[in-house]
Amino acid sequence: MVTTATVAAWITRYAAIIDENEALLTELDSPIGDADHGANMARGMAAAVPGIDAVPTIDAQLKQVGMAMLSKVGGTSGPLYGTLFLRAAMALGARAEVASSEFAEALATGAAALAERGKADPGDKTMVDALAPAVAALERALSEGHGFADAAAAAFEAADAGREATTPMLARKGRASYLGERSVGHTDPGATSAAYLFRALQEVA
Amino acid sequence: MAVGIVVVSHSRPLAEAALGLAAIMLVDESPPVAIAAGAGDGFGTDATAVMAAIEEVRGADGVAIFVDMGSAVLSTQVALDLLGAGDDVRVLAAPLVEGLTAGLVRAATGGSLDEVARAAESAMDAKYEALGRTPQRPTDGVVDGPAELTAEVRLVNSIGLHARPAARLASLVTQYDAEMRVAFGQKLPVNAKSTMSLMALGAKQGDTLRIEADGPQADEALAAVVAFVESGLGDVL
Repeated sequence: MVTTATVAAWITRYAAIIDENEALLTELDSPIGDADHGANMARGMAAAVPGIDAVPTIDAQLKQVGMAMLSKVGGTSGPLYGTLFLRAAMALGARAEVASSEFAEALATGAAALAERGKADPGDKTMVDALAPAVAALERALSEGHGFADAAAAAFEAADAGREATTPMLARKGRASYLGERSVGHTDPGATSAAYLFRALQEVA
Repeated sequence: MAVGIVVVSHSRPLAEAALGLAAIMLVDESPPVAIAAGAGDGFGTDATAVMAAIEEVRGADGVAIFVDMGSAVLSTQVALDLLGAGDDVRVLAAPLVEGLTAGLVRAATGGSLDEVARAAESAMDAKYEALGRTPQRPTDGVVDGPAELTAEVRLVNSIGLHARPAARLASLVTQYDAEMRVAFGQKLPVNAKSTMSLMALGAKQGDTLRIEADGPQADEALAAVVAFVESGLGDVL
């Protein structure tokens, strides 16, 4: 079961992890981007958190996060994460608690919408490389009968492996793709912030 | 009223300057314009600001949106989704400065959204011409001004406007004394007699094509093309 309390804790924890790692995200974004991912994500999540624990339904919570990402992030990750959260919200409807499997399915729907929006496939060195395996692992673990905490742990493990796998990849999307071969050897900042989503989920589940 | 113009840029000064530069060309009254640019105090784009800008200039004649790059495109696409915007709001694949100039003037002189889009999206041609180079985009068969007759038709065959169906369609069109163009989504209309151009549209099953026809046999040609597309372009359904 996932409740508004779970989501509030998740989003609050995610904002804290982003905040703690703002410098790291920006550092990752320096060689292959415009060195703003940390500041952008921190600004977006700072706007997402206030009042999240008082929002009565899960879809409204996710919508609050999505709108904050759309309007405050500024960079490409804004509309991308915004799409993830808004589509996940639409998939759930106005409820204060949902089955874990429904929550996982909504996240998968959001992640698929993000990939479609960014026209990115796994292997393109983007946030999709962390998100896609993570939501797949979350759904798989739940369908095999594991509890939500175990499933979230499996999702984080998959997300983190996906993040790490972006290091040797050649960027094929976004501004990093202008760099061609020079993008190889750098971990993707988007995949890193995406993996944090599941680190936060694991910690609160 | 006229087609509304929205400029989406990472930089407010850039958007303002581009609009100011384009406006020098205006003799007539300016169409409604709005800017959605910057995020906070810095570079960036904001989908909610794009939504507000669209709403601000949206009238009966539609909205043409000019974007710079990256998140400007994505934020605009999210804004269109959230607004549930239809065909009357279009993001143009136009260069920002040249396209905005061509599009703004076309809107001010009473151009329809199609005409504004066409003017803006072919705005790079002048630069290619000035440099003695050939545009890297097929523009064959594209004419200015509204077509005599138009129709919309949905692709029903499973592989869409692929090689063989496109070839059959092009061959049908050549039997008539008519100039025909086919457009799909936000792409420029292409010559319906060119198989390669038809294929390049990338239209798939379920997509709606816009067919334009001019010339002595425009009527018959349009009816024949619509019927042929509806029957599955010669593919087994």
